[in-house]
Amino acid sequence: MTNAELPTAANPGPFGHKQRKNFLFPENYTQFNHGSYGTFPKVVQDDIRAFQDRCEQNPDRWNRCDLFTYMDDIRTQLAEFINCDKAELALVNNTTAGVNTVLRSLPFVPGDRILVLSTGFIAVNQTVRYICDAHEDVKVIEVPVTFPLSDKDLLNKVEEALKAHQELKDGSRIKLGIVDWISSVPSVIHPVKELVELLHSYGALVYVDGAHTIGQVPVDLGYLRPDFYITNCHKWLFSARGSALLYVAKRHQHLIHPISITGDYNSGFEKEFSFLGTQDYSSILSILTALKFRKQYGEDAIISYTHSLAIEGGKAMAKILGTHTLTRDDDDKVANMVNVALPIKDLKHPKANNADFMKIMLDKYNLYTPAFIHGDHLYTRVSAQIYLELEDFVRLANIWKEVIEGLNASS
Amino acid sequence: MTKTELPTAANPGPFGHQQRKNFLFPENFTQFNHGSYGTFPKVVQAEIRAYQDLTEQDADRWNRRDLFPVMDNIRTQLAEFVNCDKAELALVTNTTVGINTVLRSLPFVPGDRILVLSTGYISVNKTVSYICDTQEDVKVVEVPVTFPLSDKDLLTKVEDALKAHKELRDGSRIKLGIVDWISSVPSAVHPVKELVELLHSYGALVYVDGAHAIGQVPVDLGYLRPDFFITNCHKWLFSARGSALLYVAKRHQHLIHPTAISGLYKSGFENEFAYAGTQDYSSILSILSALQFRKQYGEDAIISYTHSLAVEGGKAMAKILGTHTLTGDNDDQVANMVNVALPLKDLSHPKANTKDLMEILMDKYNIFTPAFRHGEHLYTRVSAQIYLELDDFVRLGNIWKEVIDDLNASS
Repeated sequence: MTNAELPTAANPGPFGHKQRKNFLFPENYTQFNHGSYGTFPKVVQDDIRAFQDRCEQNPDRWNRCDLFTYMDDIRTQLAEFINCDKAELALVNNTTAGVNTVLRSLPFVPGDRILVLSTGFIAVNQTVRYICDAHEDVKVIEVPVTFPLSDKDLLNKVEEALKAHQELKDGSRIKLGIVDWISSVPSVIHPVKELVELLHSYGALVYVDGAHTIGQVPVDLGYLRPDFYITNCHKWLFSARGSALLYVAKRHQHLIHPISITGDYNSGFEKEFSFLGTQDYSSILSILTALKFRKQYGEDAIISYTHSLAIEGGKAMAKILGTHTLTRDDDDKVANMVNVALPIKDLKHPKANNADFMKIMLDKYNLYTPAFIHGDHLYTRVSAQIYLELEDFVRLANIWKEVIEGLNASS
Repeated sequence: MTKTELPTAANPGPFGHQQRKNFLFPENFTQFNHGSYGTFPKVVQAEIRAYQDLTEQDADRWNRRDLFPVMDNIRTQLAEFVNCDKAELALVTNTTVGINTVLRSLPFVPGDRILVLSTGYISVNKTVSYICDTQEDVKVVEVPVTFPLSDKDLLTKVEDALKAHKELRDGSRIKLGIVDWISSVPSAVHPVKELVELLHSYGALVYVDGAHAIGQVPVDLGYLRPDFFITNCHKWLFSARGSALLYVAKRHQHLIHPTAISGLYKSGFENEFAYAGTQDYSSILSILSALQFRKQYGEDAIISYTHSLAVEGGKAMAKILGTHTLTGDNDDQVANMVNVALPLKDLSHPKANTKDLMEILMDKYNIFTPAFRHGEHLYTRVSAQIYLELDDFVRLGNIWKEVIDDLNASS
């Protein structure tokens, strides 16, 4: 398919509601929040169960022998998918595990500083907090970030923080910077290549939190060249929950050990990470079927559709709500997730919080999109996917309009 | 049931081959190695899949809300099962994770010593190695243990090691002792209550590695009073792989954090461990149907049968092979697993290793029991279970006789 032929919101091609039958949704349910927990097609579930059955037929043969062939094949395929050396890849359960793997392995010494952005995922920033608590004189440098923010301004903010630290001349050093490729809440694509180069130029290692990347944007680690990178396959790649990919550049592998040390300790990176202890590996193995499912359409087609739908869907919602999207006209900052401002009159309304909104959304409307305050607005984040169409976004906007009007009336 | 009515190898009651239909075994496969990876009944698999389906119907409703009361109910039931305060329990993926959770949280300082037994599980001892490698002047004190060894002699050995350390008077202290309740390979029931008291009397904390305990022996933490305890539910309790129970005494909880720090860092032990990040929780949830399945028969009945079968089965095999069991007449050191000596003439035979023997057993006979060298003999470890009968052990004895006869002939 040429670019002109790739599916879009206006021309869904093989996507849209016809995809629903490939998934596991009940009749009356629409998934607008794929970004949080993902979901997978029926064929992936079938294969998961086939793997589980095979394991029970002979758990020793499976866990001692056959499992490893599949795990290895997954790394081979993913290495090609993201353009890196297979020997630099490990399969782990999720991003939180991947971030802890690196942070709890790195030998921090007094004077080390870890740079994060305020918009980093909460589990990541809490892990950094733990590292600071558990080490003498290791501190966090948090760069305050509020969107909307152009790439240029974001890079300036980070560089200012780096310069300000340099000015301290107190003997401390920024050992590591952790940056989102696509942040979670709010969801925004960051200028990740420039961030990696910037942090490297100041002598810091870089951990790219790509939790939301694989399957949502093209990933090329040969181009990006981070020191560490993690991505959840169960978010946008259509594999089952509990399947993530960790990248550790060869030059650092001697330092990095799993969060759960096994009998293969000190046998080398690939061996140490080849087995996570006794667990159900079918989620990880589901990556194979997920890749096969996606190959039917091609990554370009999928990404073209979901991106186009997020943009057009966001515009449609903002129009109905009389508001705006967080990233306005900056379509490059939107992949599949769009943050739409909600027209609440009083940001301090007691029910203007995610827990209360969730209750209303689930109980009354049988759907859910996370709501959060960022800067001076209340936003909701909506995830486009191949099983959605533009009219779903229209419906969602009208629901949110009703909900917010209800709150505005009760102010 | 009174004691005289409890099922035994001679009088299987509801157990034996009639149980096979409740499990997932193919016609031609007999599981003699339940101890390594466990397995679960069909009803448990059905429940797992029901939970998986429930999740996919509304991933947000499940992962943000409905999952938690179910997890909570598991801890309530298990707290009653093991006689402890629910607030001291956390659900984790497996023993290796449970060991790493505590060891990588404890604030070791220079001069700390960690006591282990040489028969400790490899992942456990490797985790201790990792701790020693990454902390200044933290060292392991390894007590060499060779079975057969009476409880009395084992306790004496450990006490000798504690005394010898005291004699050093080098300012170091034994901070923590890690002891098996039932070791893996070889498998022997240890005098765990006395070990806890002994180590406590020398001022050490005690981590009881009860990986093999729950469902195999009665567990009473109110009686045992360890500082830390871990047990795999997926080994002997009939839940699915990836479900384990961690106990941390209240007095230590402020020190202990998950191996993967989450957004709930510093919210208190129960909150911090309530959610292990995005994964498939159905293995952990399967604990509920496992408990329900076992309740049909009662723990006493199950444990009576499997213990009796291990003892009688071990005797029968030893007779066929013309050898002995590791624990001899010491039936108290056998729970469900028995180690039978193999009549190999030459211990240095090139094929006398776990891997080669595994290939022969799997490829030629479609069964597997781990073989290992301990002391002066080659042993195999056999796991009794409710789906086995005495004639299975006889058949296994004859298979091993044939295998070893072949090796002896080719020496």
